[in-house]
Formats: sequence, structure tokens, C-alpha cells
Amino acid sequence: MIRYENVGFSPAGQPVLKSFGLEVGRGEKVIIYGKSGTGKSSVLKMLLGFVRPETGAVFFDGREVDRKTVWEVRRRVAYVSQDLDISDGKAGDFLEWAFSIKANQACGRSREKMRVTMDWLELGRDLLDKEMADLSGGEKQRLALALAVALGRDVFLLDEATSTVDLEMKARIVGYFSTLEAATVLAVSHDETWLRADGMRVVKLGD
Amino acid sequence: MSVGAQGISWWSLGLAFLLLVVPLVLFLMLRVKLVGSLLWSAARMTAQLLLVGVFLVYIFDWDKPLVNAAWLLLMVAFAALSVVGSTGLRYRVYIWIVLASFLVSASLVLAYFNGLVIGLDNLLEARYAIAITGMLLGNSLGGVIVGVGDFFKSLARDEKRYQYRLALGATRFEALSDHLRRGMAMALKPALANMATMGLVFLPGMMTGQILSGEPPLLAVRYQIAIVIAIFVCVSLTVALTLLLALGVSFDAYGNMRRDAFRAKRRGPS
Repeated sequence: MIRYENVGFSPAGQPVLKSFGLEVGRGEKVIIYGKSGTGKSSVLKMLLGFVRPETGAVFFDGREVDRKTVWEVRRRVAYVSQDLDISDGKAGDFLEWAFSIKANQACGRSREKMRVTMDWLELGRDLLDKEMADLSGGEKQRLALALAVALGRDVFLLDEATSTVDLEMKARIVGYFSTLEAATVLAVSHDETWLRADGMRVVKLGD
Repeated sequence: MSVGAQGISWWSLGLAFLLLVVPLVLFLMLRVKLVGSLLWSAARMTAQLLLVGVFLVYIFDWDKPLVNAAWLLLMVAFAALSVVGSTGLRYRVYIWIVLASFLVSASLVLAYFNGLVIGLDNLLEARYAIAITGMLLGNSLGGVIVGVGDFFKSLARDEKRYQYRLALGATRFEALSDHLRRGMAMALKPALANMATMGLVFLPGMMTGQILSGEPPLLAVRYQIAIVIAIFVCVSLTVALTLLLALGVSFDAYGNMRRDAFRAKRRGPS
């Protein structure tokens, strides 16, 4: 499903990834861990076309990710960024925007799924009327996770997606993604909950 | 009907300059470091306006469509240079975009204004075309600088939000919709506020000029209302065109913002 082939990446002249290779099969769950600065987030961003490998190539569903295919990749994966500054304005307005874009209009039951997922992640309905700037880090992170699930895509790219939630919630989220049938998960984390989860293949980056 | 304004002799103009002593003394007393800037700006204004005045004497006298068009083009070019210079964008790429936007919007609005509103036979008649274009560009400039500047500044600041939106499957246009709306709003808010307070807070320049020239106040008012509407349309069109054209050159094929959009050593506009 996802393949990194001999990828090299040196932001600001510092070699971060050298001849990196990884293959993630359809339905497989892979967790990448390593010290900070080892290029974990860059691996996910490469698949999304936000950074580009200097050598080698990245493949998604058998096709190389390039200027033409990257738009299709973005329509097919659900990404949760480690950056919590995801939008401004009201949370509800942001979600409405997300469901209104062309790529997501076909997901007929997304809004219903969003409500169910928000309940599961213990996000109250009043949150939708709140300004994004007033939400806590944990609320923003769970909102982004709920949206990723509600979009109904079958490939998840999760970058430190539980870094600000409590232990119990973290276990619930990790349990969900590690057992999600037919979904391909490529996650980045240095958290033990992820690393010890059943069904996760662990890949270490760096020394 | 027109009786003309009371003349200002060179000696009288000197008396007007004498007024500058007031802010100069205040600056010196309060140690506001603007004395040099004030003198430089006043000198520039005087030199530029005198030069333009001399040129306009000949241009109004000749009143040749080609010469008038060339003069208008020069005004548009200066307006475009001012926008690109103030927003910190790279001249080589953006000057053509802003120039084209100003040219299209000012030409359309001027043609409508001179042809339909005033009803001139010659759309490029020097006295009207140059004065009206000057009003359009001069009053649009601030709004365009604010709107275009804010679009790029907020985009540079919120690049991760923009990327997150792309990652959700948005097209470049969908991901930028908030920034585009915000840029337009920032450009037009001052013009809207101006429109709403016109006549109450201040008497605008064009109307004042006509009244001083002896025109009936109601004619001056009709001209002023028409020109304010024309200016608003000019700002809206210029900002929208600039932003839409800029979308084509400010991002790479992956939708990422080009790092070389801004001039060297600047992450974003000032």
C-alpha cells in the first residue's frame, strides 16, 4: 500500500534519512519511533507531498507520489498532524468546511459518524460552538482524530496523535487503530502505549 | 458658472510650508525622531507634484489619446511598484501580476465611469482620464496593499494549517478560501468605513476641490458619490485579480507555498 524506496532527505544540509526503505502492506499497522530529529514526521509528510525526498521515491498504492498523484493520495488518507494549530474560528465551522470540500462530499454519513466518534472520544457537543483558540490541546487533538475517523478513509497517517490525551483515552485510541479492520495505519510516536500495542509492527528510525 | 478657486501665489505656498514649523517644534520638544522623515517627505511631495503639474500642463494642452494612455500606464506602473514594494513580494514575479490587475480593473472602471456615468465622447480625455485614474489608483492603493499583504502574511504564518487542509483532501483553492476571504475583507474594510462616514467625518478631496473651483455643491456631491463607488469597485477588482493570479505563481505543483515568493531575508511582508 505504502512503500519508501531508498529515500534520502537532508533538510538544511543535515542528513536525516539515508537510504530509508519501508513497505506497509494493505491493512497493516506500523508504528515508527526514534529520537527527535530522526525524520519521523518527514516520513509522513513525504507521502503527503509536503516534503520531497532528495533521492529515492515514495509509492502509494503502486504509484509513485509525484505532482499529479499527490492530490489523489491526500483524498485517500486521513492525516492527524502533531501540530495542534489546525484552524481558527469556531470548531463547528471548521468541521463544516471539512465536510463541504469536494473530496469529502461523497462521504454521506460523515456528519453522523462525526457525532458518534466525538461521543466516543468524550468531546461534548458544546465544543462545536467554541472558538478553536479556546480549546485545550487534548480537545484539538481528539477533534482532529474524530474528523480523521469520520471521513471514512482506509489509510491513517498519525503523527504523535495522542501526545496530549490522558492514559485511559490513549489506550482507547491506540486499541481502536491497532485493531481497525481493513485499515492501513502508519503512525509516528515514541509512546509506550503505541509501541506495545498488539498487532503493531514497530520500526525504529536513527541509531 | 465656475468662478474658479482663489489663487495661491508662491509666496502663499511658502506660508503653507510655514505651518510645518508646528509639528517640527513638537517633534523637537518631545524628541520624536521624525524631523528628517518629515522634511524628506515634504520635499518629495513638493518635487513630485511640481513635476507632475508641469507635465500635466503640456498633457492637457496636447490632449492626444496615445500620450494620455502612456501617462495612465505610467501611473498604473507606479501603483504596482508601490504595492509589490510594500508587501515584500518578489518584484520579478509579482510586479506583472499586480500591474495586470491594476490595468484591467482601472481600465474597466475608468471606461464605465467616463463613458456611461459622465458620458464623455472621448474616454481618454486628459482632464478626466488622468484625474479620475489618479483618484482610483491613489485611493485603491492602501486597500490593495493591506489585502494582498495580509493574504501572503497570514499564509506564511499559517502554513501548517494550510497543509493540514490540503491533507484533508482540499484543492489549493479550497484550502486557501479563508485566506482569500480575509484578504478581500481586509482590503475593503477601510473603504467601507470611509464610505459610511463620508460627509459626516470629513469632506472628501474631489468634492472639496470642485466646491473651491466654484461648482455647485450638489454637482460636487454627485461626482463624489460616483467616484467613491468607482474606487470601491476598483479595490475589489484589483485585490481579487491579484490574489487569483498570484495563486498561479505562489505555489508549486504539490500545492506547497513557494519559498521564493518573498524578497530575500524576509519571511513575510512587513
